[in-house]
Amino acid sequence: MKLKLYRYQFSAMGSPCALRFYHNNEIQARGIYQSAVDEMKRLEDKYSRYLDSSLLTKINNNAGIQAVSIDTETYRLLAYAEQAYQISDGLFDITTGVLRKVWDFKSAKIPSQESIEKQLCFVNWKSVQWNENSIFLPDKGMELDFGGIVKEYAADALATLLKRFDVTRGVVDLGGDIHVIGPDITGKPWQIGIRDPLYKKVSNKNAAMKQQQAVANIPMSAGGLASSGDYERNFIVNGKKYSHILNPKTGWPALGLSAVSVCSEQTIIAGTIATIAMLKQKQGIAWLKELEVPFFAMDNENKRYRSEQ
Amino acid sequence: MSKKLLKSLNMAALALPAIASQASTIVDSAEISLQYGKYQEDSLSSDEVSAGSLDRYDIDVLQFGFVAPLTDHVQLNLHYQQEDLSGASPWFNTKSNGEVEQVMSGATIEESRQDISAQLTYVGSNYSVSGLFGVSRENDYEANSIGAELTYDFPGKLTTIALAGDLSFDEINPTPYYNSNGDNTRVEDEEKESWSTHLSLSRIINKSLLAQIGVGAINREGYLSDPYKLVGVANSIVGDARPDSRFATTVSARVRYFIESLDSAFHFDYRYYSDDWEIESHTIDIAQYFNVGGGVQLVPSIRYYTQSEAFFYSDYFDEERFDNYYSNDSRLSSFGAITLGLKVNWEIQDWLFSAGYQRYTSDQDYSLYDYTSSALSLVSFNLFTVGVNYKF
Repeated sequence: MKLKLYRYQFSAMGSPCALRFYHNNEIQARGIYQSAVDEMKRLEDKYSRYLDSSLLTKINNNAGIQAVSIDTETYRLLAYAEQAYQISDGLFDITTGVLRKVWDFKSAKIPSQESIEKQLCFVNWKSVQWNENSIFLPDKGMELDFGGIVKEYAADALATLLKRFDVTRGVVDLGGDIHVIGPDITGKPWQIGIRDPLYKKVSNKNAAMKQQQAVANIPMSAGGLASSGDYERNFIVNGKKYSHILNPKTGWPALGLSAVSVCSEQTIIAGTIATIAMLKQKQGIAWLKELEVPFFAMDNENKRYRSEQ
Repeated sequence: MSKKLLKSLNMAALALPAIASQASTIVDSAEISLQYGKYQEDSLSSDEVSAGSLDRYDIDVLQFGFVAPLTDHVQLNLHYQQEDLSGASPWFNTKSNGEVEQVMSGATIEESRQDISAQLTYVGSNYSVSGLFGVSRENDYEANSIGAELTYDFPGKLTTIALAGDLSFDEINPTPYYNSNGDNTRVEDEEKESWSTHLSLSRIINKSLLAQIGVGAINREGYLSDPYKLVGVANSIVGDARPDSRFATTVSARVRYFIESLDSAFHFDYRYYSDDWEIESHTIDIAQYFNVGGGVQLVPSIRYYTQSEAFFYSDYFDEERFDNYYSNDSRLSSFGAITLGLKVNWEIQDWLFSAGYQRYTSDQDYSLYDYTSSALSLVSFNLFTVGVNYKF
């Protein structure tokens, strides 16, 4: 009954995902992997804004029309989003997604201030009416986007699932949203690589190149790590980088920081803090220090910051 | 300040179902609750009572609860209850012209009781351990109790086993009652010891159905009689006298079924009880939790209870018993009881307001068991409650 490291790769929520964990039985390990894929699919089917059949699409399609019934899990996610909104003084706003309609990162054009302001009318989490049983977006044109929450939550959910199957050593990696369950087989922390925001995405098929991508390796034995950065989707006009991280108050992309990675007990919290820090721009560094969370960040002048250890 | 912000975010994250099950069941925030209840027993009719007051007990109950996480794994629960009671209670029965009649206590009894208990729970990844102690005081009664509970979640967290036990030490010092010779006819400085244990197995069968089965045992030893009650035996009056031990076993089952289309939860509880005083009982509780929107929940409920009579129960004893056990306490007779209830809960942000009403009616005709003797003064009551909870 020797423990063996099992690795599985799959694709979900538009990201490459990987599970690594130790187990003594290949058939059971395979079963655990299958359950993890099912759980990912369940969350994607429920909260993806790309799927017509998802609950999120149903909520968005009923904006300005009627309230939509929700279950406890969704209610708790909304309650979480509310907390994130409060602690960020409204910077973390899950109705911000509609700004993508004017910020088209494919065409790489800066939209007019007028069109931004027009779209900003639909960004207002405070106007959303919700309770334990239902949610109603009051204006047609409003949208919820769980983009900054659900993949992180899924990482925590998969960690829970692995623990349920008595996995005590492993790593869940959902496109960079990480949840570590216990140290590796030798008792040492796993080395979790943080992607270099400067590294151009050419090819990541080559493992050696992947290594180079890491700007820092963070040793982790338990808990979550998530990153937010302008490297995922952006365009550059006159040397200025416009990222997909949009400020719900101004309608403009956050500037100042190019990447933030945060460690926390839960991946969802790490992700929320990283996003808020990005939105706080340069003040984000001071805020992260004040929170006393482990972090790694880089500003738009490529200066690196780390929490004191 | 920022750390406090982080804590609020952490609490919201721990409330997420997939994370909550990982972190077991510690409360995510401190919660304070206050509840007031008015318990009113129906007055007796004058044709049932030969002497004494017709008014029975009125009890004001004030409850205060506090629960808070102390660390990531430790939770504290505190509970305080104050009861103020006034009214009269059945004293003894007489027989005249072949009819048994109730004599109530004459003067209005005024009493108060304070209960306080504290419980500390440690929640691990798949188990919890908790210890509690409690004190209850009345002017003529003091009880001290300790208890412990262990739970264990089987891998997969769908099945949980729980084992609980408690011990209680009670001292009884009834108000003296002097007869015409100046002797106190009531007992003094009596004691009672009891323990109980309960084992249960809960299983989440699917996302809508949860079931639990349990077995338990309760043992009481010492002074188990009612020092204030007298019994009519063959034209004389003797004190209520019950065996000095009582052992009971229980079997229980619970089902919780969530009906998604109605956004409503169905609760069904059943309990079987049997003891060596030959009392056997069945309790069925049915409640439906309707979420009607706007944070409002309506909970209509019905409870049916029936029991057999104790082997030494009679409303009046024409002859002496060989074992010298006597009681005419109607709570030891064969009877049935129906409780109808309606509760309204209203949750608004961190506040939960509730109001409830219960009507309890007991009658020998409701009993599933035969009876050898009638029961006088079976109680019926109204219970009104209002409460408020606040989460920090």
